[in-house]
Amino acid sequence: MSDQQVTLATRYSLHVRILGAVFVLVLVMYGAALAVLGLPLTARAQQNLDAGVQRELGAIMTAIQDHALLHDYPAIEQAIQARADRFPILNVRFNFRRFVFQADTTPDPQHYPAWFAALVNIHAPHAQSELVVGGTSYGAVAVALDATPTIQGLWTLAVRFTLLVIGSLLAVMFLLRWLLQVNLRGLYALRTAARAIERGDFSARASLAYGSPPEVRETKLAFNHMAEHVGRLVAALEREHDELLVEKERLRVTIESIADAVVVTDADGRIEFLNPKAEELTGFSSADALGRRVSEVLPLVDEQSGVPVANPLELALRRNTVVEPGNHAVIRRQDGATIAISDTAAPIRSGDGKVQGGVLVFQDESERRSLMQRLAWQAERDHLTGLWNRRTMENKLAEALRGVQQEARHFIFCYIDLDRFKLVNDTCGHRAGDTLLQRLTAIMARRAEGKNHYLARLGGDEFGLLFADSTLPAALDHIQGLRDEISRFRFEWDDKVFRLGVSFGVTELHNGMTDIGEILAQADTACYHAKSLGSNAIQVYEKTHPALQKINDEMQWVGAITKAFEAHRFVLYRQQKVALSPHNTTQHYEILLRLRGEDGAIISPGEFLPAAERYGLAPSFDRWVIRNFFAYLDTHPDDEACYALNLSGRSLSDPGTAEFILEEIDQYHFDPSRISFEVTETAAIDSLDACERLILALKSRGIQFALDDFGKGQSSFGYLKRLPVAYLKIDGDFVHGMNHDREKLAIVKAMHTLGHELGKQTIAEQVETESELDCLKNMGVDFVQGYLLHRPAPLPVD
Amino acid sequence: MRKIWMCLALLLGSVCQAAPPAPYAFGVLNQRSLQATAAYWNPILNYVSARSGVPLELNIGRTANETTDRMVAGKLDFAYTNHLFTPKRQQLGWHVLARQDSRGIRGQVVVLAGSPAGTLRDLAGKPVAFANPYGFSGYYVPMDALLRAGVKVTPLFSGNQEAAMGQLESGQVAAAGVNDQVMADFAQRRRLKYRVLAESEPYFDLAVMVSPRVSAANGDRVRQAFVGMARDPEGQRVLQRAAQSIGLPKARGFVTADDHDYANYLHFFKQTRVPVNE
Repeated sequence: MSDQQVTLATRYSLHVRILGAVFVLVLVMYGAALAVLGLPLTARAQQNLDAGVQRELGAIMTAIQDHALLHDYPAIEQAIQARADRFPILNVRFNFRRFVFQADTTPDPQHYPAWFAALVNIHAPHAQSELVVGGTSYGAVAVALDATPTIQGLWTLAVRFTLLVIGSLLAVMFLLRWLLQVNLRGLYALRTAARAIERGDFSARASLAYGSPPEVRETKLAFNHMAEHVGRLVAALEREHDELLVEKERLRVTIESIADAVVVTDADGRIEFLNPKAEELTGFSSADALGRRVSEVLPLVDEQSGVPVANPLELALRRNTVVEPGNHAVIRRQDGATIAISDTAAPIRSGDGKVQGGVLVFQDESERRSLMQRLAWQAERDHLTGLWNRRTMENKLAEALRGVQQEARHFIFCYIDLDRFKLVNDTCGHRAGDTLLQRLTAIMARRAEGKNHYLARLGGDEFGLLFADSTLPAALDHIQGLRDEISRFRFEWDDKVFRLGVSFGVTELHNGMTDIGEILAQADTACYHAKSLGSNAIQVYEKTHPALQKINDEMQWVGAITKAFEAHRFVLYRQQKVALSPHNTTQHYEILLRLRGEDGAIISPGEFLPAAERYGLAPSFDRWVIRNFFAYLDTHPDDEACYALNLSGRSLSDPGTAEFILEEIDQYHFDPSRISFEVTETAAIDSLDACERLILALKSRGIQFALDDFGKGQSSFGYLKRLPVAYLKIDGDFVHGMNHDREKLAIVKAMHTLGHELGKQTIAEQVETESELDCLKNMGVDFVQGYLLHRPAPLPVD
Repeated sequence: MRKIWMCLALLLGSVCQAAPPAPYAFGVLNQRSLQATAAYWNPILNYVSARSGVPLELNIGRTANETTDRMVAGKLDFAYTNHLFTPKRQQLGWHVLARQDSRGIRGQVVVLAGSPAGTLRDLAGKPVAFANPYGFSGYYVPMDALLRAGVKVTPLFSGNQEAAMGQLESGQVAAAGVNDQVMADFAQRRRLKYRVLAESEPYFDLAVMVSPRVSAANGDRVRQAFVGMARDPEGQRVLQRAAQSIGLPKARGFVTADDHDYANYLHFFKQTRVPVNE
């Protein structure tokens, strides 16, 4: 449709259109009526005229017939003239032989326009006939009628018809206009409201004018509802628009200020936006990058190989999905610099899922990757020596075990334990110990380097060496070389020279092994035995070796202890510590742990505690004893004795032990000062700092400590100054036989004297004879304990 | 010059040839309307004119009396009439040439079939229609019968016989004096049922007569042509067409007749009690 047609189609109002259409319709109807009625009317008028002239001719013939038969010509003239005068006859002519008569009349005056006569095309009819009677002619008559009256009649009819048309048309127009005004009043109100809304006045509503037809009223109601809805929508849109602007601004600021680089492209991968961080990392300004391909601005290469990699944003646009490539890409900038990045690309989709563009977010990963590398290194390496750490070795052992089980490969594992390392630590401090370890492990690592050998630091002075795809002889050969080199090693520190011994426990991995614990246990067992053989020994694990079997038996206890815990077969015993002073009336006991075997027999702790200590189960024992004994105290308020409980070395070094004990105490209501803990001298010295912290923490609640097995260790008495213990419990080995062994007596006496000098009470254990007791009484020992005085008995339970 | 004379001769010759002879006026007594009379007689006269070579032209008056007056006044040359047998008109010298081939006519006094009048006496004092006061069978004969029966009626003259019959049919009159043949034809055409109260002896119907001023030869040629119509197929068709034009069931030809055939007319007029209008 052309513009002109559109203009014409929209120029006229509904009013004009309807009126015009009805006007034309009425005109057409009247025209059709005129055609349908007028043309036949005209034809009928012509027919009437033709019939009339025939009628007149017949009438004249009849009138003159007798006169003609009688040859009475005057009568004929008279009859013709009379007829012509009375009827609209234009002329009549009669002739018979020589007699001719013609009667002419004056036609009626024309009161109609000539064009009308031409339009109706009615002609004056003529007729003539011969008067024959019995075959004899009596003359001829010719008649012409005047068509004027007929045309005049038609003209009058046409004028009336036209007046009727005009009148009807005017009436219809007025009626229709009135109807339109009444019925379209609501529509105009609707238009007014719509224009007001168009101008932005969304509060405008169409008024419900009186007289509107139901359709318009319903339309107006629907419009008002729609306007109300649109108003709400527009208000919501404006709110959302404002919020969107705020959000957009926030987003812009965020994008410009975030540490992440953001690149936005169109659907073809051509850049539309770079945020400042992206500009910084790519070296392109946003203006320079605009319209360039993302791969041009952000050329990526693989971090390892340097091979160009596909740009993730182009992949995301092509695949229409989020692409998160691995973090191995670096940007190779135009200035040659490379920046490690991690990136994520995502397509921007329209509502119908069509890709509209893409966004690439990437970060400068240089620092993080460096950190990650350091962390990875630290996770795998021992930070002091740079060797693999225990966890890495365990992983490698697990891998090796799979290799043995699945690929029949050969692996040898060697457990290395340094001797006398603690001496360096104790005498020269930890820094010296650390330096020693660094130097020594450097030597060890150098020997293991590049030989498919994996050297790891498993603990303080414990190491593991895994030989991959090696035979036992070859491994032993290497181990012997390593031993020799360590034995030659001299460590000098502050003018002191130290020689280190080393013990090796070797085991060969085989497919019968179930887990790495078994590998470690075998190697450890072998090493344990090697250590017992003296320094620089190498022991290969053999299942049938008696010494190793004993150690193995200890390991069997681990399972038995676990099962006993589950079956609640541990029981608490107590053994009295008798105060030799008559003024001390309070009863003192030591809480002891016993295991009831599956057969009901009581098993002494000497059988299972070493294994428990060795395999780290002692803290569990300690906590079990504390928890159950505290419960006993709480449920036996009549028992007012003081009790001493044993704490293992592992519990001492556990920083959570103090907190555990205090929490347990807080659950009950007994006096904590009735409680004391015994720690072995060896354990206390091994964890001197932790032990000191533990004693101080519990001492604040009135809990005392006793140094058990005092004198058994080889430590110096210097530790006594740091350990704020209340009791020294002289080792039973010195008490036993002291009555006849002067050295023991002297040692016990010295220890007792030292204790008292330091303000600590002394306890002698394992007193089994009266003589020993007498000696101790004479010596002034504060408490004695032993089978002579009281054999251990179950804790009384009601 | 010679050519000029020849052209003038041809012109004069053609002028002389173009002038037709003046036709003889043939009067017909008005028994029917002028139209019916002309419709019946014009074909016959045209035929007779063509066959006899004697041009005849129908010449009738508005009424039978006027036609008879024209005969008496000498304006006619031939006539078909029976009004010239009265004693006074017999002296005009007209002669009978032919007559229609019919069984003759009778004068009748007729009433409608449902009329209460059973005899002529029942008509006493009542209106009776007649054609005109000159008609033989339509007035003289039936009135003579009424007068001889001693019945005086009120005569009403309708102009011609069918007009009188029409008055009877419409009930305007109690009876009508009629020609029996005309009445029979009328009743058949109109399907009218009627009763005859009185009837005269038979008289020959109207005669074709010739004026004494027409030559005997022409008169004879005319007679021959009339009489020959019944034998001539063309003449039969003309007679048939003429009869159909006035509704007669069959055509009637003409036969030769003379004055003796109409002697009973003369006798009637000598003894009739009806005053003769001459």
